[in-house]
Formats: sequence, structure tokens, C-alpha cells
Amino acid sequence: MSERPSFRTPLGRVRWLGSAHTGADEAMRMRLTSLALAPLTIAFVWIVLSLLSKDYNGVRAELGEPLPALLVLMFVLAGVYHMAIGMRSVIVDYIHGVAREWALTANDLFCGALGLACVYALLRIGFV
Amino acid sequence: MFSGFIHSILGRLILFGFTWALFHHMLGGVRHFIWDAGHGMDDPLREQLAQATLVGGAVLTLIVWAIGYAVR
Repeated sequence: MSERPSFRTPLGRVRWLGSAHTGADEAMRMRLTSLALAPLTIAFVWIVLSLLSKDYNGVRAELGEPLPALLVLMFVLAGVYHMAIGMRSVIVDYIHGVAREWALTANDLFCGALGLACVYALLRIGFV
Repeated sequence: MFSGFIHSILGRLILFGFTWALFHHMLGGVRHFIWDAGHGMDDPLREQLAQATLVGGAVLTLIVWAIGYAVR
């Protein structure tokens, strides 16, 4: 900051330095998914641990039940979305130029594919 | 095939590390909620919260795995 008194307004000083646009929206989505994931994580770990002592058919039967299936489904959906926006903000902070665009695209594709694969697997166990 | 892997030492180790990472990350998120509420940013408390996150994640993981092995 210059030592001389300035006639520039605070708005004029920050204008064109970069835009916020969707920043607040993203932060609130992060909080919403965190809030959902805190209990869902505990439920998910509990379910996975209970699956360890079961064989293949036992695991299929357990994950075919409505409550475990729904809890894991909610964990996956909230988790993948949480992961996507979290990774996105890391990329935006640390990668610059064209590499950033590639990284953002790769992130979206990876998270989309992972989420879809998990949902497909769960629905297949539940309904096939 | 997957069942054989997950019951091996390496599989167990990965699963253990995964639960640890999950719990550590979860407690880090809780810390952010505390900050968002406007608490825990002053000098002694913020360091204590950081240490509580570190220790808490490990303790939660050990508790859950102890229960997991106990009920098996």
C-alpha cells in the first residue's frame, strides 16, 4: 500500500483484480456436504467393518438391505461431490495456466466416473 | 478375489489407513465448523484443537478397529 493518501474507493481498488462469482456458493456446498458426511462417515465405517467377517453372499445380502444400501449410497454421493469441490479448490489454488484447465477437467471426469461406478455397483447389488 | 486381498495383511493395512484418513479428515472438518462458528481461533485453544484432531483421529480409528475385532 502506498503511503500517500489515495482518493480511490475500496471498490475501485479491488475491481478487475479477479472475480468471486461462485466462491460463496462453493463454500456453502462444502459445508453442506461436510455436515452430511460427518454422521455418514461413521455409519459407512461401521457398515464396512461389519462386512469384514462376512463372505461374498453375506456381503451381498447385507448391502442389499435398504438401510445399509441407502447409507452407503448417501455416503458415496455426498463424498464424491465433497471430494470434487475440495480437489477443485486445491487445483485452482496451486496449478496455473493450461495445466489448470486439464486438471479441472480430469478432476470432474474422474469424480463423475467414480460416483457413477459406485452407484451402479450398489444398485446392481440391490436389484439384480 | 477381493475378499482374499482385503483379509491379507496388506489389505487390512490399507483399510486401517483408510479409516484413519477418514476420521482424521472428519475431525479436521469439525474443527472448521468450530472456526466457522467463531470459536477456537485464539492462541492456546487453536493449537490444542490441532493436537486434538491428530490424536482424536488415531484414537477413534483404534477404538473402531478394537470393536471390530472384538465382535468378530
